[in-house]
Amino acid sequence: MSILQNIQNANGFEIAFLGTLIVFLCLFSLSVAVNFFHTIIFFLENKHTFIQKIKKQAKINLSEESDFADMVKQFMLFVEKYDEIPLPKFLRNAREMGLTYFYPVVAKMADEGYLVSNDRGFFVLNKTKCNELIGNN
Amino acid sequence: MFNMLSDFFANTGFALLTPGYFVMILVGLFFIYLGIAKHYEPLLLVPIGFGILVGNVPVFQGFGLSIYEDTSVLHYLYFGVTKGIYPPLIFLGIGAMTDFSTLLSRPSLMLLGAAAQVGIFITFLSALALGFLPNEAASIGIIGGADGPTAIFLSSKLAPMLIGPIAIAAYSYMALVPIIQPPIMKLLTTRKERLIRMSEARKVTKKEKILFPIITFLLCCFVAPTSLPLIGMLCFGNLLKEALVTERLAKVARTSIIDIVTILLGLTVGASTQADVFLNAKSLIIFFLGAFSFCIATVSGVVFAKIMNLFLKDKINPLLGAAGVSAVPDSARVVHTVGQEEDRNNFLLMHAMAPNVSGVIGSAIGAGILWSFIK
Repeated sequence: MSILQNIQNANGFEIAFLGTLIVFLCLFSLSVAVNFFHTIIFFLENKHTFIQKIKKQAKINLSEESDFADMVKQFMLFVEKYDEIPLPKFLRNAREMGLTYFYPVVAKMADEGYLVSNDRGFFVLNKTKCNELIGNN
Repeated sequence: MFNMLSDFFANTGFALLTPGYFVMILVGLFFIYLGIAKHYEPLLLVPIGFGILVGNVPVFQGFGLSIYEDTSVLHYLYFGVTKGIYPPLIFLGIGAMTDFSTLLSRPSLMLLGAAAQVGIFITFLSALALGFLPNEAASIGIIGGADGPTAIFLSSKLAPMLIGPIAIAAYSYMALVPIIQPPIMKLLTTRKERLIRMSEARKVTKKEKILFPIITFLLCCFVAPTSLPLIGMLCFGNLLKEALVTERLAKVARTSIIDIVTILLGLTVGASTQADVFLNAKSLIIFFLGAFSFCIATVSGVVFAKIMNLFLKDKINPLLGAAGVSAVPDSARVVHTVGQEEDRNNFLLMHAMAPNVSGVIGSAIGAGILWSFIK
């Protein structure tokens, strides 16, 4: 009983609870602040790239043949090393890089025969058609 | 002639020697042995050990030799301890030599540094329960922060009469971290948990490193202004290091200043353990509570890491929790060693430095909070 009283008389439980809480809050807010500043710095250092991506995403109009041709040209550059295009991998990479505007491009390419499946069931580029589109634009 | 010889003998240490002084001289020799032969924190234990020898050569009062006499040289040097001058200077040096990169690359590990500070507050409660006054209990509790300078700083503010035993307990247990922590860590973790490998830390930019001490200082000192002398100097030292343009100042802080202050602090704290002041039941209880606080701090760190794992996708090795006690870099080294006992290729040292350095910040904040509650 006297042990408890010793602690209570000195507001021991309150001090211990509040002390622990404040230390946690302090270090937690510090970790949040560190993350926040990391994001800000990362954004500022890559501002140019981010802004370019956002602008591009806002600007693309796939019904415009020139825009579509530009996208097809970019797609060809991305997949030039593949004979058969690993489409799921490409789309996953595009998502990780924030290039999700490629999704409708790929869909339109498949619809319009720029991207066709071969006899093994894999996607390949119809290079003649693609080059024709790019050449015309 | 005979009388003169007799008077001379009466003034010698042999004539004044009591069992207490003898015991303390043995303690001092043991510290020196641990430092030199066992390499346990030699930079601290050798000065403290020799200081214990200096403080326990029995002398007559009035000669101005004892550290507790106003006119003695040691008393002037001890001024830096009693007025809390040395600890902030040591923090300046620690800041100038600490690389916070691992902490910045994974800020969530900071919470482990906070969890280990639970040891401070549980020990505070235990000391109150054992009948210590609140100011004494707070100074004893801070031993659980495993940070010698912080313990000395808080004791100098709240319980100057206990600086000796508290400092000796704090530094002794810091030196004994490789013995105290491993059994607790192994007891609380499974082999599978000890085998967890940490994912690679991301690269930290220079801007982040420069911003970190400024943000830490402002945030922590606005929340707990009483931690300003310690956190302020720690952050200032780190800013000098990271700014690169102040390399000369950083170099002085992490070499000359910290070395000089460590010598003065170790020697005078050791010398303050005069047997007639030091050897009493209170000191023994403080030693017991010190060991208890280290154990609790280790337990709370490891258990909190396991709790974090319940919510994390990318699991952390719970051994890292033990590094939350701020004995830098010993507890991080212990984590690495225990991890390698299970898997030679598991390198935990750099990851353990994150909770380790956040423990330094956490214990300084804890000290500030206790000071503000019990001023």
